[in-house]
Amino acid sequence: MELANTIPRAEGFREACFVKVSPPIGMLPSFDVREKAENALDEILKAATDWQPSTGEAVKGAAYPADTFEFSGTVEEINRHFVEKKWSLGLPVLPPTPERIHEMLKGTVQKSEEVLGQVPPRMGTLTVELAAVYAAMAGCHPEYMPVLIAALEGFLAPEVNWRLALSGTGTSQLIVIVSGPVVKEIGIGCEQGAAGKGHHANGSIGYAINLIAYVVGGSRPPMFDRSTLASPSDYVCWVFGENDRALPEGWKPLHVERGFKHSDSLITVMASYPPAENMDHWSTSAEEHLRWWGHIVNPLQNMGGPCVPQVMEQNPIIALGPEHAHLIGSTKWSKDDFRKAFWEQTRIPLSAWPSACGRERLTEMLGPVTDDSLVPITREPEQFLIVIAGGDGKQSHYFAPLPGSFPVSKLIRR
Amino acid sequence: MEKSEKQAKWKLVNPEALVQVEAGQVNPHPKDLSGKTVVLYWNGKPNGDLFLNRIGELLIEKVDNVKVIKAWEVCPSTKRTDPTTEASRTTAKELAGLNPDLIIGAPGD
Repeated sequence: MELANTIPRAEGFREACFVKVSPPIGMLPSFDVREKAENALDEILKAATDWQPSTGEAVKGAAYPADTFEFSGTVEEINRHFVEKKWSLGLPVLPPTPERIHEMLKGTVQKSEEVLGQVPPRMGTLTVELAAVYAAMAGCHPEYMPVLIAALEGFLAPEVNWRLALSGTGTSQLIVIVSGPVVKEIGIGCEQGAAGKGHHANGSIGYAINLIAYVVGGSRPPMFDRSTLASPSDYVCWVFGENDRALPEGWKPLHVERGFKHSDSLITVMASYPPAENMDHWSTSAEEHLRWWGHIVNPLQNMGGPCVPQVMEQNPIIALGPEHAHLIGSTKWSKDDFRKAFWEQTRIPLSAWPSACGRERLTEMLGPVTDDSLVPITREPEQFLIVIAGGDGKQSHYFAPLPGSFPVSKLIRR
Repeated sequence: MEKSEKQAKWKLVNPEALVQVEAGQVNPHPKDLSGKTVVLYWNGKPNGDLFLNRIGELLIEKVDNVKVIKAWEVCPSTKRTDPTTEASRTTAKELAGLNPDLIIGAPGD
């Protein structure tokens, strides 16, 4: 209920009227669903005619400058205070002193008072200054600020569907891919273990993003974040650089492919489900390797096909490890050749889906279908976003987008 | 706590983000549904339509002259899980366009 009420509250209404029907509703036979409706009817009728709305009150104020306060205690006590105030995720943070914030703001050319946007679902106002506060808490260095701010601008774009990522039941992952010269210049990990431990820039930027997402956005379990299980990615999101040294011959780096100059630095963000890992150690040709993909990736991974056909319009991310990329490149395949083969290999027959998904919306998109019709992940092969990332090892990753989440790229301003 | 960790006086920046809210006005609910128009709103999640279909049948059985409109049938674009606040506002406008006295929705799983 609390989550459901965040939307009317953000629109200026104190509350909406809800009747709670105990879950589940989905995955039940129709008789059970009808019975639940019959049991809820009296309460629905009462709510329809007895409940009256109260007018919401306007809340105004200045988002900049942020307030300061005095605190006496140890660093541990500061951390305990921040947990109690719901200003952290429970892991340690550095105390956000005005001096640390001042230093952090030296890393960006953007003005401290600039409003970057409102973070859902609570719609907390995020200024550049507040981003610096969380960057300081996460232990970022000032030179990371341009990457952090560009990533936040990306997540705030409506196309990313940050609201669903921060409040849905799925195990959402926030993905940040950094490409261009900035990767080397500030030490973004892009080779061995790029997205994991030991890469200070990746880890601290990822921690700052999630502090902002879940504290400024106000989403935490069980009231707002409705993740069924969630994952440690709730603490630190995915941040990795493109390994452009491992690009097969003729393949363009991500930022160039997305319309930017070689000399530009770019972030690309999206919300996804946890990745599927391809650990093919055996294939000796691109064709064999693609068959492996065909058995571990399919449209069911993000409710595609007839369930939510709109996800066929989205852009899954394939992060190819350098060794797999080399195998594909040695066949002289272009990126588009790989996309087409991937698209064909990952189709599965319509008979794989439960009948309850219905077929009418898929028919609207693809025309008449039968049980044997092969359903692809995306409408067109060109929709797959490909990046080379990581180091030695025969591992690649596939990130299925959350419904309604599209990759958004932003120039890193320095 | 570590004995060696020192107590200190700190000046800290408050990380609480401002939530700016405009004052909204909600229409009152009708005191009686007789003769009123009730719009049923389904966002496309599994079985929500079955639930609302039964609610619609029961309303017609129990309430005099109630008019029940299934939004997903007359305005199929409302049958979606809105990814953004902007999309939610669009859905709200589409539902308002059906001139309801009351909207009953089933948004969950």
